[in-house]
Amino acid sequence: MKLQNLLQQRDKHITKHGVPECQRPTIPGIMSQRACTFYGARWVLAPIKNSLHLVHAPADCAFYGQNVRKKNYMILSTDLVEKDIIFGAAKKLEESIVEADKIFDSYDLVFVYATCTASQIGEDIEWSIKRVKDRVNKILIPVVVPGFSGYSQADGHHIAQRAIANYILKNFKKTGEIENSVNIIGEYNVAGESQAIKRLLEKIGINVICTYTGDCCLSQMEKSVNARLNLLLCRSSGLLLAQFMKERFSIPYMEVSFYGIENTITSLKKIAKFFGKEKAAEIVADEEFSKIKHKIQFFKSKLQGKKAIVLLGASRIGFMTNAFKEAGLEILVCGSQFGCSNDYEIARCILPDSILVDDFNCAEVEEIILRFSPDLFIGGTREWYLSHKFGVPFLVLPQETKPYACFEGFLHLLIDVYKEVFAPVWRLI
Amino acid sequence: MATKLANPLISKANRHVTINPPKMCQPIGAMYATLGIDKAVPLVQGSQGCCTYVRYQFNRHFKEPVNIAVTSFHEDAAVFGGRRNLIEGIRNLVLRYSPTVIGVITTCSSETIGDDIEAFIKEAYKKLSEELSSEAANSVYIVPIHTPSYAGTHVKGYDTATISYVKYFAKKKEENGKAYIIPGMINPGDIEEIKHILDLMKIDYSVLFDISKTLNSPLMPPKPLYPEGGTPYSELEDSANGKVAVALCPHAGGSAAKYLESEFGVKSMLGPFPVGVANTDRFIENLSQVYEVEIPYELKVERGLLLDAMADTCQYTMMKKAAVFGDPDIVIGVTRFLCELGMDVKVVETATPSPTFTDEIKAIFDEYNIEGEILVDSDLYEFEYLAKEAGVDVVLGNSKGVEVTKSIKCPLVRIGFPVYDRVGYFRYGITGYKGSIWLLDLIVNTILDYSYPHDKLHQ
Repeated sequence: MKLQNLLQQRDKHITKHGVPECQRPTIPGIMSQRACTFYGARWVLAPIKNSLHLVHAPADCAFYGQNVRKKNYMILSTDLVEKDIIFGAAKKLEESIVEADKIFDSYDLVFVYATCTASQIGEDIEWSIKRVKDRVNKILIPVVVPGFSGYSQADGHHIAQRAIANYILKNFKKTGEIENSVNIIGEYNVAGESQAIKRLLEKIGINVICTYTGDCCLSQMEKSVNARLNLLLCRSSGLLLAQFMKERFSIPYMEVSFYGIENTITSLKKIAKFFGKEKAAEIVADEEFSKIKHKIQFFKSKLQGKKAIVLLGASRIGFMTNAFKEAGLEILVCGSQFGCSNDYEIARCILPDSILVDDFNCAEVEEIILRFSPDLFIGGTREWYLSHKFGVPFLVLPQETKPYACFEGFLHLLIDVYKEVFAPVWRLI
Repeated sequence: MATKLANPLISKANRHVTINPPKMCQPIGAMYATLGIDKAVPLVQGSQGCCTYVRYQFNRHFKEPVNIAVTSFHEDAAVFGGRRNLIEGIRNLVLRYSPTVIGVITTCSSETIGDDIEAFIKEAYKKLSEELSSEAANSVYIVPIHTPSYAGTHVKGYDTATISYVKYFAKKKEENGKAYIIPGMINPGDIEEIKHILDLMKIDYSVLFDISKTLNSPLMPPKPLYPEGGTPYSELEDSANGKVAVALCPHAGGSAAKYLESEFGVKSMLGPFPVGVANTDRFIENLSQVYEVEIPYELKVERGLLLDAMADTCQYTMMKKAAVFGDPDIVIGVTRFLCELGMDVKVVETATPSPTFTDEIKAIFDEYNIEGEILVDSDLYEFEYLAKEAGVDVVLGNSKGVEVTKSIKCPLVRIGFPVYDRVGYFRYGITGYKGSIWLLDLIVNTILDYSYPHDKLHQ
């Protein structure tokens, strides 16, 4: 009965019809799968090439922030100690920036983060940056991301985008449009996905100038303001940037997705229409599809009707579920840690009869597995081993080795799902 | 992206900025200890990231699910304090998971605003007895653990947690003659190995903070709410009545052992971390003296097997240049073992500030006539620079060393925590004679893989 009472706290976050309540504070003590604002900002900013990342905090935020999307990045820290917390560490920060500039002289950018502690003791990193500006040969960008500001990592995505817009893009001027050119926004080059999308677009004669931020550097960013069109892949980590570029540089944007054949073809057509390249797109789509057509049949027939649970980050629940549906999976439950109502509305259109869950937690994951006994669970590292303990196969995202985007990527996805679901271990339990 | 070392080194001692820090936060150490207690849940008093990032480390190292709760600080908590969060968090945790022990682990943010968690816990108890019953409320032990990360590393966090638990639980009763082992941040395989040694010596023991089963659990549906294994809290209570308290890693657990000695007269045994020949010898001799038992023949055989393995492979290890980084006690132990293998240890580093580390390493270096660099409270940038300068053949450390070895172009032997880019390292211990054999095989095979053409080996 007590438990019933507790579950009522979460009642509106789990819905069979309509959209769940979202973007609310996390309930303390329930083992939510959410992360902090700093985490969100790291995910967006870490992949920028030739950039230094200086975390104004005890060294640990830097330690954990080094590993992003299965890649290691160099990271710097001011390594605050007790006396810095008491007396402040503005001087240490300033000297750190200057030293970092000297040691890594070939780099372009320095992102300076302030996390929980630095924000609480009132460290003004913007002021420090102003003070050392003249001594440093790089663009300095303050990123104020205390972990407690906001309810989840999504807020960190927003802060990171604002940092890129306000401190990098704002300084650039549009010099003239580059024909047949696009930027990709909200794509992080996991297992080479950016390259897969780039190759596909190049085939129909469209050049990608800059991929925010999976495969980008300062010079590409400078050039990117001359693009004709922005392609928005992840709404949570890209929408603000796309809007900013529309406002400032009059670059229109369109939401696209390259997960699954259907999404890829629709997106290609949309893009081609914008550039008047419908014919080329059709030819390329046919050509690419025919390459994998025969191969995907086997896997699709095997996976047909398998029951799946999908718990992913915000806008992925919309644009990836379509691909899983295409693979033949029946999606019973779909959820996100930090989705906004827009994400859930899109997911609801794709999955009219599924249960949607916002900000799921460990106990609920266990409950869902027990109640639905799915054939496959799709989620992140933190749910991975939990699912295994119930004897349920698991597909982990971001993926390990091969891109899932575009035509060939869909084949990789099918193979990976097949490998998980049909591993003999599940029959031996 | 590998660190570029274009510029001459500015030593960590002479600069403010830390580049690629290899140290983790105090809370992760406290969680490590808490996860070794039966039906215990760590409750992190802080932002969500303080829990998520850390859980991610555990997940990737042990390939296991871990139950860690967080009180989810949002802006209001950071301004007005985490009172409401902690009380609500404890309530939700008790109702959902009915744990026996809750370790309330503070973080930077909670400590900075000065949360009085002891008072909050009292209030939480009051609320629990109102909502449930006073018996139900009294059956959960809520232990405050203060771990602000700016005042130490994960090693200190583990140490703080052990002493907090022991202070909270230990009660003097009748003496039971047991050996209480405080393992430190070591792997399940290491603990199994220690148990194996004590079993052979027929010593009655109990491992406090025993993660050997809780973080290495079988796939046997239905999944229990808590993994089996782990130290029951009654053993923590009983630790006051033991004969000896052994801290395998004095930096992580030493203060709990010292506390048991000063408060209850339990003899404390601080280290050495039993890896390699001499350290394992010392560990076993110490125990055999305290318990007045003969060293069993089986252990002598294991020692002989280690020596045999060392003799068989000395041509590959002799004069090979090595560099080691990680937690202080493990680095000290491993460095001695590398010297025993005839390796030339060029750089040793620990990021944890330690008053004894330098002296202990110096003693080993003197004994084996080695000139190496000793880095304390430093970063991987300096380590990488010095290792590169020295032209080392092999680096030993956790997965953060990958980028270092890429830049030096030498192999990495993975030891310590976290190791997330290889599977299974947590299963095999490096402690004891058997563990040392495994570590030796690992080092030699790594060297062979990296520097010997396969067709040239004709042994």
